[in-house]
Amino acid sequence: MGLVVDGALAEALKANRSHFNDQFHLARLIRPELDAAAFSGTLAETVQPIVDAVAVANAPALPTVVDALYTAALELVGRRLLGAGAIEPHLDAAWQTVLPKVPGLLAADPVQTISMVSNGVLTVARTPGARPADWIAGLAGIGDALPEVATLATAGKVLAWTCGLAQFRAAALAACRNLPEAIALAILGIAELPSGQSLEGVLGRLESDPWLDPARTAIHHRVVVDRHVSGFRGLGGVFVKIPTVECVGAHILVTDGDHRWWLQADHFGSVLVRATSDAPQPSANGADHPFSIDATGHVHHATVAGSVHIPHCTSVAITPSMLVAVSTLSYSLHVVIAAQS
Amino acid sequence: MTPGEPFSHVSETPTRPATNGGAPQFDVEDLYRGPLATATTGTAAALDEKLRQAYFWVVNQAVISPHYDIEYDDGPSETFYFGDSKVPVHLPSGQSYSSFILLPFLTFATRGRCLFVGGPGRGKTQSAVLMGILAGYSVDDVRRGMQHGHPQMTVADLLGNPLPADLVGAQSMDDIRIAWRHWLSMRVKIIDEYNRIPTRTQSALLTVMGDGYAELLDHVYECPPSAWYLTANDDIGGGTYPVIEALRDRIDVVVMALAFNSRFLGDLLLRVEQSLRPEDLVPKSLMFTPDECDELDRQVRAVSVPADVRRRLEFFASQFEFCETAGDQLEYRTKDTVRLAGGDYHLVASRDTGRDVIRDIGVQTSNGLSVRSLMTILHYSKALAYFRGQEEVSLEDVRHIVPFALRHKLAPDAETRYLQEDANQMLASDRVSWLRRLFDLASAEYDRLDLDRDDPVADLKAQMARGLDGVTTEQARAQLVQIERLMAEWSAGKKLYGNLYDDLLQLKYIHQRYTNYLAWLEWAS
Repeated sequence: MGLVVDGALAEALKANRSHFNDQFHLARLIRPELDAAAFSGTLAETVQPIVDAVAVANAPALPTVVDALYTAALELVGRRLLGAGAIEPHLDAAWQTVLPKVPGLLAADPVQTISMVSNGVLTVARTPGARPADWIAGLAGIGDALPEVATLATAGKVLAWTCGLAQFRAAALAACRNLPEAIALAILGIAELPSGQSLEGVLGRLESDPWLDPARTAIHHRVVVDRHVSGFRGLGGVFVKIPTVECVGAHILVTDGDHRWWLQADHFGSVLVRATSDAPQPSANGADHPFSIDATGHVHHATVAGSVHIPHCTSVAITPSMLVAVSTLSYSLHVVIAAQS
Repeated sequence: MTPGEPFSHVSETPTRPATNGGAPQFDVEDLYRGPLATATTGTAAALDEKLRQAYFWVVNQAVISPHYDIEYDDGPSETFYFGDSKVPVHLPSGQSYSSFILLPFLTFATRGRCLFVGGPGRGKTQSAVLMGILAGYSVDDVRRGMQHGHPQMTVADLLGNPLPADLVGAQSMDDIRIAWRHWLSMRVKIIDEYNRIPTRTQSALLTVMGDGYAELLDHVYECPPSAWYLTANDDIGGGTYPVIEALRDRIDVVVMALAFNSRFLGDLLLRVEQSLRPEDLVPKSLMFTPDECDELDRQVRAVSVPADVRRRLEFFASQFEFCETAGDQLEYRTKDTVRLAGGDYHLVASRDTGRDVIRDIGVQTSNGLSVRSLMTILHYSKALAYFRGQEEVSLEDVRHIVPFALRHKLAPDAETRYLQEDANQMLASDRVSWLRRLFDLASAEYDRLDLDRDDPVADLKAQMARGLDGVTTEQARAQLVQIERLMAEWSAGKKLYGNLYDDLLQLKYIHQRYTNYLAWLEWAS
């Protein structure tokens, strides 16, 4: 027996029944695979709690909100991104966890709110190594405190960075300054600023040190650490051949012969972002950088204790903040950093 | 997706991802790009991207046309052969297109004139209507503006009527006001079954289509720049009334509605069951404003045509007008001389012996190219390059445009030996393949002559293009000697083909310029 829609959602659907029926028929025309049962289930299980929350917060906005939710759900269920049989489970979680927490924003701008939460979680979920569950939990945790849709947009960007989308680091740090301090601190995982410190000071330190954990700014001890990033495509990585790495200015370009990626890494995670086919000019490894590797594959840091061993190295790229090496023994990248211990 | 616009969403995925070879650029707004449109990501597409999005929307959701006959390769590709006649099936490795949808889009971008041909019920009118809607008009406006050709169609039906009250009281023509038909002001003009329009009305249509204005009782209505879409069931312009040649010549491209693929019957069934029409579903985000249409036209014209591509097109175009036996003086040895004299071209051409009928592709046609058709090729090639996100036209772009721009303008001489060979007989009916073959043959001949590296006429022309200011008597005489030497050399060994004919005329022109310049120098001194 299928789930039953009732309450405010049922009333709203009933009030504009032919319109919603037409929408469904149109959707079926464009996406014949749209599953009526999955869509009904999504309305009852996922959309109804959101509508109930909006009914309490701002009942006059219900018709607009229901229309937007219904339309978006049709599109997403039709694409098998939402509802039973969805290929991406995190979208259901985001609708069920985040949207009921932001009824005020839904009432103010339902289309933008739904789109940002949906697209945002999909982007995070589709980034290898990122943590979509953390993004959902983070957004749900601050949902009550978000005053407007623009703040939701900014908070989502900063959260995406802290959930592993390192390519957004610079933009997210800049965006952090536009957030209310309480929200910014919550996203950065700082329960309370130590006395004498300001948010601006923390952001400044984060800008200059990609390996700094904002929640542990008082810890100064460092150790050389070898992180493994990606691997063979057949085992969940992206490379079809053992890759090579090279510096392009302060950035690291990785190629496996068929494709190229920019490696972006910091405390929150490491990502490989597809580069285009044009070949940028590689630059030499900087001689004055703190990392070095000797002929036997031992990596040292100029000021931080410890070393890591990467035998049979075939390719090395060194930037001021990390050393990236590839060995014949693995398809993974060795990303050597000076992390807080 | 916004409420009330159920299918206004268009994929955020770039239709042709751009290249970025320098330092990495990461846009944090990418976080919110996805299946649902947002205010920040939904409307920012560049015009070429918007054009491609519209194309893919039509191909994927509006018109069932799974024919990717405009093929581009991007690396190695596979070809398989089927049947006794070894029919090749090429699987292109690059983004390829359906001509039936693409050419109307290029017409939209260039504000050209596109004729749809094909049997009834193949989506010709529907495609034209969709283009009208993409120009921002409502379905009702487009339907109201569409002109349906019929045997009783008068000039007044087409253009408008004098106001009856004015007719009674007018003392002069100036006093008569004209109620111009609304479609004349539209940026997309659709003429359905144009070959059913009576000849006199066709002439009025010619003025509107060719010159951009309508004329009635001494009153003139200036039409805005617009894209034209005409439909006909007949490829060669036959119908209730024969289409006047000038009207046919104003048509830039002809595109054929290909047969329905029975594997898509399920899609038809859905349309029947849902009682919905694609023209009702065009996303608003894909519609172009008048300003965007103007900007689109400007951007298309800004696409460059590299000299080497232009030179190959010149070489191709030079093949067709020349007819060695048509006249006595060099300038009149053309197919047009025969046509104007009412002669039988094939009879005249058959007097010509000793020419290589494979190398000389000019013998395959009974007429030459008009200036208008060459301008069409250049303009549409620019549009195709623009559509593909390129800043300059490639040879492949030109190769794909040529068949559609010349299909109705370059007539095959079916009695020529090349088209009567068993392997080539099907080319007489498949004009697109025939014209593409002609272009390929011309290109191969161009390579054989090594004209990219050794083209003395191009060198002389380039020297002339630098101007005559400051050229001394000695330098001018040296140029004349060079031209005369070249002609002497070529006259000794070369057979006269179309490309050589054009080169000789060019050399004669340059020679005359230097001769006149020398005369002026002597007079001035």
